[in-house]
Amino acid sequence: MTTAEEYLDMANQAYAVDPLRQRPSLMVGKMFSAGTSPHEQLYQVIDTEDNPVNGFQAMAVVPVLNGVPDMSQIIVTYAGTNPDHRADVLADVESVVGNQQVLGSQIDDAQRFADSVRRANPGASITTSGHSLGAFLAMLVAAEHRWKSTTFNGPDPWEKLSPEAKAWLQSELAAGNKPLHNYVNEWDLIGNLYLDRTGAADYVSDRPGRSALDYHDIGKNGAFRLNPDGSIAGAGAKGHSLEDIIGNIVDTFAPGAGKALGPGLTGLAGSLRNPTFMNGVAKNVSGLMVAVNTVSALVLAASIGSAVEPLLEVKRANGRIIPRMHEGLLAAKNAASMLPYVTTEDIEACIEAHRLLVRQNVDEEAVADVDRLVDEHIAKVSAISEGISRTVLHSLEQDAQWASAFAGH
Amino acid sequence: MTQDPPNRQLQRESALAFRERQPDVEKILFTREGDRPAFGASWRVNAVATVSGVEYQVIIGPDIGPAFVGVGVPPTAPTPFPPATLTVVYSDGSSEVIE
Repeated sequence: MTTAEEYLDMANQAYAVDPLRQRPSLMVGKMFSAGTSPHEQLYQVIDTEDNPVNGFQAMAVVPVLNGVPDMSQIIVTYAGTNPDHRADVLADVESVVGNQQVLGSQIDDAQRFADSVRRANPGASITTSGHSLGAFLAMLVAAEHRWKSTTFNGPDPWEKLSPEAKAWLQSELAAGNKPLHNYVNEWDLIGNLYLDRTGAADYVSDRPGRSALDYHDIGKNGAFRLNPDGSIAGAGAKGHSLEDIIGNIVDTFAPGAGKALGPGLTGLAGSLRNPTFMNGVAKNVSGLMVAVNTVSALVLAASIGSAVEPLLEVKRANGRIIPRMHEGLLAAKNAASMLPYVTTEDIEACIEAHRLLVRQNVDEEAVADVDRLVDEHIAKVSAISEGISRTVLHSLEQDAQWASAFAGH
Repeated sequence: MTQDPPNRQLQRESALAFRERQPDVEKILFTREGDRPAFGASWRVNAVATVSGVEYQVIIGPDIGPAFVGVGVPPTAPTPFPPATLTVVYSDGSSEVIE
């Protein structure tokens, strides 16, 4: 039986298909090792696909049993997001083909590749796997073909499924089956981008306060820890709202900022889940990258916004100067009045003679100036922070529009 | 975001990870600097591993199993295999002998 660790390794190996990053790359006939002893298994690549225009990469592999490829069980694995390719796509669209060209989407490529593998291997049992965008594609293809999938940190593909695939999934779920199994780190932004409508999500516990990349990474110190039997440790967790997840990422950089940015994060979560943006994610790679960039920008906004708190502390301390001086003087007067031979007039005369009145010892105008200065800084910091947040949301809308246009819709 | 260690350190960790699976490896020559091929993917690098005098093209990383991208797969090392000396040649041209 193929372990979750083996699927995880296969999802990771799918990235080695890219000839721009690995030279030589993982090609047909080549082998790799997945899992760890005693569950280590050798796999052979039987087919690959690499579309340098939209960044699509996939491979089909079979286990090698006793030195012989077992063609009866095939795993189709899709690679996730390559940030480099987004620039390539943008360059192509803007400088080469303009707005006329409708390029093949990654979904079309994924379906075509799966169909090709199925036709070439009639009768074989096929499952799918992948990570991130690759997981999204793997789940979608599996549902459309009535296959099983084991994926990692994939956004839920429900909105892009055909009515037939949705009906099949619903009947499987009603029967207590779980044909799509998507391990999602409870704090990963990408894997939690959309609601779990396919029923595929299996949330995996992790501790808050790590970096956004760690929650998404499928490496050793990344999103998933493994049990000795090759299963995923911490699976079966409860999961979080998208607002909480973004808040956790923001808090990593500026503790407490997630709470302060609450309304903004709610707005961002809503934007990420709007149908137009969802369409962008489904049609090409840009949506996921926007999500990542968005969090980065929000973190910047939160960092700047968090500067308000120390400024407010300055203002609070400044505001306490005069009352505390009054309190101190009153305490001294009360103490002196306890002496039997000192009259109230004596105390007032002493204060006057030594110029101990508060107004004589503090520049009230200077204190007020500090207040004004702090207020100005708070206003500027808030404006910068809000400006960045607004820009992020605006960019999000722009990108969703671009994604739709790019996909020909 | 967590920053990756320098490539040379990751190449060294990759060599040691490969030796854990293939204890009879004699030499590893890194042919590229290595990187993460995508967002969230594990760091990896191309190398040539010499096992029993035979060179194998591999893609290895600190936390990813080896992919054999040349001709053939090295035979499983006999167990137990006595500790062997491993020569590592990094992509920057420097080298090290690991006992």
